[in-house]
Amino acid sequence: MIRLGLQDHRTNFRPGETIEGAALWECPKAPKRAEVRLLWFTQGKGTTDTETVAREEFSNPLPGDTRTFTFTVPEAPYSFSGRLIALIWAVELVLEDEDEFQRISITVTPDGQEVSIPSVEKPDLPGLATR
Amino acid sequence: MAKRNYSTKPPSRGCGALFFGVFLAFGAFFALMIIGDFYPKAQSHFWTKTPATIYESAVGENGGKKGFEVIMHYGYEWNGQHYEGRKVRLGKDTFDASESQQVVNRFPSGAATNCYVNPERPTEAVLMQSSLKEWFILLIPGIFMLVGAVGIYVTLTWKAEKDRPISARKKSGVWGIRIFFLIFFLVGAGIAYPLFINPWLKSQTAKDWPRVPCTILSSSVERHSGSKGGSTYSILIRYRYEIGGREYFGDRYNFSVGNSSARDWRNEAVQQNPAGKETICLVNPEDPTDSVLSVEVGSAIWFGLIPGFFALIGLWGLIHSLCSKSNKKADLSGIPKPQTERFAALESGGPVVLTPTYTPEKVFLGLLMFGLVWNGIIFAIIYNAGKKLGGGWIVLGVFALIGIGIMVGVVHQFLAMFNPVPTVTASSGAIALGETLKLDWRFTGDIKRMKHLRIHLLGYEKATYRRGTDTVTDTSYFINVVILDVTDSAVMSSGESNVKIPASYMHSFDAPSNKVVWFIKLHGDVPKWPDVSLEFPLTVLPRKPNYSAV
Repeated sequence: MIRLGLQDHRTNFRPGETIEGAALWECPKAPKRAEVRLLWFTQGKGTTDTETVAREEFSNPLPGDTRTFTFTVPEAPYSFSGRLIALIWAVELVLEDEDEFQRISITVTPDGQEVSIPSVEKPDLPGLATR
Repeated sequence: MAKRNYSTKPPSRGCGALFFGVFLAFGAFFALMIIGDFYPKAQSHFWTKTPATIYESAVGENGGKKGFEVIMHYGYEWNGQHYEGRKVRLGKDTFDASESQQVVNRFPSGAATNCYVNPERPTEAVLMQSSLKEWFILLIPGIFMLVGAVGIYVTLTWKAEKDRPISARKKSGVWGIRIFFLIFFLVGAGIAYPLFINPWLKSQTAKDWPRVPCTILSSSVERHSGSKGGSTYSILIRYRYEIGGREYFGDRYNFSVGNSSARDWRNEAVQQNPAGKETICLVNPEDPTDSVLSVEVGSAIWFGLIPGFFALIGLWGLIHSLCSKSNKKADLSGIPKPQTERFAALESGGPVVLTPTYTPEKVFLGLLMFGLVWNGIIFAIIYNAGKKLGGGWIVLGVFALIGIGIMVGVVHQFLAMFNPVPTVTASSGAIALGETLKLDWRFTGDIKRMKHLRIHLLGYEKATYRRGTDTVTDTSYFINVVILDVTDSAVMSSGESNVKIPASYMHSFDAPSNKVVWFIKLHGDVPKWPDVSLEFPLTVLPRKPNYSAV
């Protein structure tokens, strides 16, 4: 059993704010490694890009254990969603050799709402290098 | 809205394992075939080295069949008993002209040498052991077996993306693209080398070889039936020449390799070189067994340019991926370091002259260099090959047309260099969402030639992904703000304008496969002349702290 929770069940954060949460697990034996990671990844048409921006490893994890963690939210990139790309922030708890994990998606923007990128017609300008 | 689903549905493990199992089985089958063929020839490596004397050594014709026979007779002692042998090596007992000559030179009549005797049957002996280099061919089925074995392992242990933490996934990088282009280059060059580069270089070198009188012994066009009913042809020719009072044989008409469907030039070559004709051959001064009748390359050689072209694409892709901007590691925010450094510029303010992505001068020089190299190669081939191109004209014609197209582009870009030149200055090197960008433009040159000027603020999403073996890039524009649209040349020549960057949009984002790009587009229509068309990248930063979106 593996659980991950954020304080007050918050999932919207502004740059510079602190993410506080707790990780809990119950395993037959102590995991070799237990770690929480703050990361962003892309979804959509393009190949997934991902970047882990912060991580916190729990020392001497026990078979049944509860740990707390904090992260400071970086300034960028924002959570956004467009016609081709979406960028999602997440907190992940990973046990052992990546065998077990739990993930919570969060939103990182100045106003707490995911940036929604509209779609417009391709400009009617000759010689645009980009189609 | 981007579709949010993980495209990680795994293929059936059974199907995957079966697919790679077929690879493994094919590899193993061909490996066994090769081992079965090579092992008997390799047995002489276990035989006993024994002193021998050569009684007779000469090159003989192989009864009109392809290749030469080596007439060899030698004697050796085994356990006090005398034996005589005639076998040169295990396996194939015919040789090509050069090889047969080398064998005779190595084992001349009367020479004392060593042979290899089968200890279990002393009547069986050879002079030469098979080359162990042949075993390298096992690499080919070996690669199949390796791919099969690794494929089976990966398939059976594969874990779906959704079953793995995102933070543990490998980042999309350029290594896959590099390997793809490297394979493209290696395969292209690997095919082009024997088909074009090697014959071409040898022909050029052989032009300086000494000319030696020779006699044609036989000549004919050999027909090879293809599996699909078609036929291919090769020249079967033998000739004799003397160097330093010693007789040598040759069987090479020119340096073209392989057979082809082109029969005419081969017939012509055979008619010009009938049996008994006294003619001239060219002999390598460093190796008298190495000779050729003609240094003209056959038309088939030009088809070797096609894989050569692919090799060039592979090389270009490899260099491009090595120099690519995406190799620069993004910082934690996904904004490349040069962009984050512009935070400082934003803080300090101060106007910055924007640099266009491509200037007419840069494009002109790039196209000119490429065009010179491309057309230089094509011209050199046409100049050297002349009328001997035959069917190769079709291939060269296509390449020549591409070369003409490149030169038309060069002329176009050359004319564009004489357009009015704009200098665009922004109020800051990087602008934050929600702020106002002040743009100042100023033209030098004959602005009256320009009839219409448009300046836009544009932005698009750019997603790169793999589709089969292709790398595809899709873009979608999300903003198009007209900053200026004028036809009055007085207004065009210089001016300034303000444009607000909407706070509710996404800042510039640059990851290897996904980007959000902002830029200024300037387009001036010049009648009957290349237009002024420039793009100025713009860095849009996240909102400044304490900014409240409206």
